[in-house]
Amino acid sequence: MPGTWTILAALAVLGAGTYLMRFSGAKLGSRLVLSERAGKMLNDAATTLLFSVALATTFFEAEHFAGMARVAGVGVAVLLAWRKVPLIIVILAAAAVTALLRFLGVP
Amino acid sequence: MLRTYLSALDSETKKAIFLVCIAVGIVGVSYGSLAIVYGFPLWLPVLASFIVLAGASEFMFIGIIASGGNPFAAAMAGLLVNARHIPFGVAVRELVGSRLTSLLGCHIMNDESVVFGLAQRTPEKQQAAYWLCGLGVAVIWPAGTLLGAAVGSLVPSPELIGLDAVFPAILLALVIPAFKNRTTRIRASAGAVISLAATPFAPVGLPVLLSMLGLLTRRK
Repeated sequence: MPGTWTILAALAVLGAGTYLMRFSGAKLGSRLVLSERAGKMLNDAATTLLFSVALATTFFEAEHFAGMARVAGVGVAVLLAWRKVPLIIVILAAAAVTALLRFLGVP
Repeated sequence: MLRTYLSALDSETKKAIFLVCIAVGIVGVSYGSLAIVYGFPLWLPVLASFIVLAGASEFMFIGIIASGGNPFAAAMAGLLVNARHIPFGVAVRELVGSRLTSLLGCHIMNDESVVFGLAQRTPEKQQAAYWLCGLGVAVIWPAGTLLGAAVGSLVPSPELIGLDAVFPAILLALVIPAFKNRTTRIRASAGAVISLAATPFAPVGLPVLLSMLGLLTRRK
């Protein structure tokens, strides 16, 4: 294990860098005078990122397949969300289906 | 301030935010106890939770150091994972508040606060959902980490109770309504395909950024 000060310095880099990213995006955004089309593009950018994060965490654990239990749980949740079931049911169903499948031995 | 936010949102959204915060807290407990198992002092994951406040990058940071990696390389890997906060920031620029408030408003930016914020219909509700979810996570993530680091794993592992399915499920449930717009649907799908295809080959964090290429499709 590296020394405490080295880890602290690295943590400071991670913390400050992350904060700077959050801050610079928001400040940059509020300085832009956007056409309606560009504004729509930026909203689509966030949607695209969130959608990609969601699918990546559905199918992958680091670089490997996450297993059928999680995929099935998310799948059921999406189906319920599409049928306009309340969000809390969607959340609970995702967890319950995944946990149940794991309990039954599905990876 | 919190009171105004609470009254702006319908009860279904509030309950969903509450549940997501609980899930974040449980993952925090497992993160804290994992850090102790790795041999870190108690204060380290707790401090990291406060100042970084981005779970995936923190897991990565302590994991790389624990497996013998250079701490600065671990920080860089974490920053790559967090780089999506730049475009997130642009998208939620009107939700983070102005001047002093925005200093905190930017810090509480994460996948969940962004998605809950953008999914609401009016600017007031957007701001309320963003702040409620953001503040909730900002409190419960370090609290969970502290609990896990101090007591060890006293709750079942997040995978055992299926919590790993909760985060993608809530993101999808809140993002999919935007797909009614055809251009949005095409851009997001193209981006997701690119990012999924890159996942087995590119370092963690990069594939998600590559999804931005999907925006180039159907530029009308």
